[in-house]
Amino acid sequence: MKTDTIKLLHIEDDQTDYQLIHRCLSIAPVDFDTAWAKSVNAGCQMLAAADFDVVLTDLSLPDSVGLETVRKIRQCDADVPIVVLTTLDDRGVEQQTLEVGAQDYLIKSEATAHTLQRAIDHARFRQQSVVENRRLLADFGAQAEVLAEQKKLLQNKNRRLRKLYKTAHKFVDNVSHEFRTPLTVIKDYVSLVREGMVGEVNDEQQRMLDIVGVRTDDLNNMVDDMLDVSKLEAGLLGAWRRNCRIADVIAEVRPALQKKAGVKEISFQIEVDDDLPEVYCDSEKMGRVIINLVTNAMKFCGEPGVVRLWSEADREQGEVVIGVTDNGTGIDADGLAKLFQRFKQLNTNVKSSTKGFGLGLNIAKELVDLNFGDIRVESRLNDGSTFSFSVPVADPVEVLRRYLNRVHALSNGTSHVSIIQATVDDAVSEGDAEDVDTFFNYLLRRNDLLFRCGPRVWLIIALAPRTELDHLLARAQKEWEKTNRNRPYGPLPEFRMDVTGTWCAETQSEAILSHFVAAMNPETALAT
Amino acid sequence: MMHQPSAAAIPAPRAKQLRRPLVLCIDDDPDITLSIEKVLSNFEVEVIRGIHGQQGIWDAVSRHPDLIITDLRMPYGNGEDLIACLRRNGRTRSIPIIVLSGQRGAHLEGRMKHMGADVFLRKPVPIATLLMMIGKYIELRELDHAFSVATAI
Repeated sequence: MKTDTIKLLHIEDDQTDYQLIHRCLSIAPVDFDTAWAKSVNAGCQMLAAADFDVVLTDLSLPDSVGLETVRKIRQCDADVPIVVLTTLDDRGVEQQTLEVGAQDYLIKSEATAHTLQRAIDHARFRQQSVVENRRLLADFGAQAEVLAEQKKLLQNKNRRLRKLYKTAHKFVDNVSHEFRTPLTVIKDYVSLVREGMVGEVNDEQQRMLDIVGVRTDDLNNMVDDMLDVSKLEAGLLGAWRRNCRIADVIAEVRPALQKKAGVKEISFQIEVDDDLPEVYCDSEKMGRVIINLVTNAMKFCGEPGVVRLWSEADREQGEVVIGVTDNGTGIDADGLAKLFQRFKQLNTNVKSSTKGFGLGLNIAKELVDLNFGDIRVESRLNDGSTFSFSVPVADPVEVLRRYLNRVHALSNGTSHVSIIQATVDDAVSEGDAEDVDTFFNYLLRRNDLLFRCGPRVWLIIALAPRTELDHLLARAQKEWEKTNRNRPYGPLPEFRMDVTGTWCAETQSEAILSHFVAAMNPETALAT
Repeated sequence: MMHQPSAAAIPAPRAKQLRRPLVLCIDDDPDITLSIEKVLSNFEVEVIRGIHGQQGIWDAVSRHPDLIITDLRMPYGNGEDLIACLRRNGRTRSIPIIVLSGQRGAHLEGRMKHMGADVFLRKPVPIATLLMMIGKYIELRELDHAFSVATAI
C-alpha cells in the first residue's frame, strides 16, 4: 500500500555511505524524497529552508563530531525526528545520542531497508509524542497562568468584599451604638418616673409609662437584630459558649416580657422547672431567641391572648427544649412549609422574609444554630402555634458531637479540629485557677470550645488547620506574657498546653470523639 | 484576685460602717450617671460622677470608692484603660468594678472579666438588676423617705 512520501534529509559526508543508505531506502516500500547535505551547517540550512519528516545523520562530519552533531541539529530544528547512523567507533556514545535529542540510532553496517524503515517509523512516532507532550505542557502552562491570574483576581475581590463587609459592619456597629445611647436614657428615665422615684405616679400614668417602656424595648430589640444581621453578613457573628442555667436566662428576659404582656393584656405563663439540667450555650443569644419568639407569639396570639413559655428536658437526645405556644389562628400549610424549609437550611439568607414573619424569626434560627440546636414549628389552623428550639445539655461529649456535625457551617473552609489539653500545676490556688479559667475564656476564638474537666485541667477544641495551631499556641503564650506585664501584684500561673492531636472533622469525627472521651477521663488527664 | 463574692450582700467592713458606701459612676453621657445617682438616692449611699476615664482614675485613686460603675466607650480614657490602670495600682486594685456598656460583642464580657471587671452588664439594664448587682458589693440601706423599688415588674 502506498503511503505518503516521507521527506528525508540525509547528512553524510562520505559518498559511499550515502549511496549505501540510499539504496536501502529505495528498496523500502515507502517513498522517500531524499535531500543530501554533506555537513551539519548545510543540513541546518536545508532544515531552515524546508520541512522534513525525518533526519538521518552521521556523527562524524567535517564541521561537527559526535554528540555535538545531534545537538547542533536539535538547535536548528526542535521538532524534526533524528535517526543517528553510527559506526563501530561511536559505540560509547550511542545511547547518549538519545539524551541529546535523537530518537534512535542504527549501526550503518547493519542497516537494511527493513531496519532503516523501522528506525525511521519509530523515530517519527516517538517525536510525535514528544512534540505533543511539549504542546500539552505549553497549553497547561498557559492555563496555569490564566488560573493563577484568575485566582489573584478572586483573592482581590474577596479582600475587597471582606473590607466592604467590615466597613458596612463597622458602620452598623457605630449606628447601633448611637441608637442605643438615647434609647438607654429613655428607658432609664421612664423607669425612674414609673417606679415613683421622682414622685408619686397614678395608675393611668403607670400604664402609659409601661407602654413607653415596652415600645422602647421593641426599638432596642430591633437595633440588636439589625446588628446581628450585619454581623452575619460580615461573617462576624461569634458566640461565647459556656455552661448556663436556663432559669437564669429566663429570669433575665422575664421582666420585659411580662411588662409587654401586661400592656397588651395577654396572659403570659412561664413554666420552667428549677431542676432542668445545665446547658452549654451562649446565654445572651438564647435570651435573644426567647425574646424574639415570645414577641412573635404576642403579635399573633388570639383574643384574649394566651402565650406560654415552657421548657422540657429531653435527656435521651441530650438537650433541653424551650418552646413558646400561642393561642392564635395558626399558620396555613403554605406558610408552614416555607418555615420548615427555612428552618432546615444552614446559613440561610437572613434578609429574605417568610410571609408575615420578620427579621426576628430569621435571626432566631441563626442564633439557635450557633448554640448547636434546632428550631421547630408546629401549628394547626385555629389552634395556635408552637415555636420551639433545642439547646444541648452541658455534657461535653454531646456538645462536641453537635459541634463536629456543624463544623462545615462554622468554618471558612477548614475542617481540621485539634484537641488541646491545658493544665496548671497542682499547687496553684483555687482563686488563681479561676483567673486562669477566665484567661482561657478570653483566649477562645469564636469557633473554639472550652471544657473544664477538673479544677486545674481544661480541654480546648480548636478549629484550625495544622499550620494555624502553632500560631494559636504562640498567641496563648504572648497573651499570657502580656497579662503578666499588667499584673505586678501577682502573675497568672504558668500553664501547659499539649496538643493531643489534629483530625479532619468531616471524616474522623468518631476518632475525635473517642480521643476526647479519653482525655476527659481524669486518670488520663493526670497521667499527662 | 477577682473572685465573685457570695450571693448574699456583703456587709461593709467595720471601719466603713461609720461612713456611707461610696459609689463612683463614670460615663461620658451625664444623663446616665444622673439616673444611677437618682436610683441610689433612695439608699444611704454617696455617689460621685465622672465623665471620662482619666477623671475616673483620678477619682478612684483620691476618693477610694467602694464600688465603681463604668461605661466602656469614652473619650479621654475608655473603660478598658480605666480597668487596666486601676488593677495595676495597689491602692485601687481590689475595688469591685461593674461595667455597664452599650456595646455588643460575644467576647466583650470575657475580655472585660479577663482585664479585671467583676460584673458585665449590657445597657439598658433594668433598675432591679442594677440594684441587685450593686447590692453584691456594698450595703444598700434604704432611706426612710425611700419609695419602694422592690420590683421593676
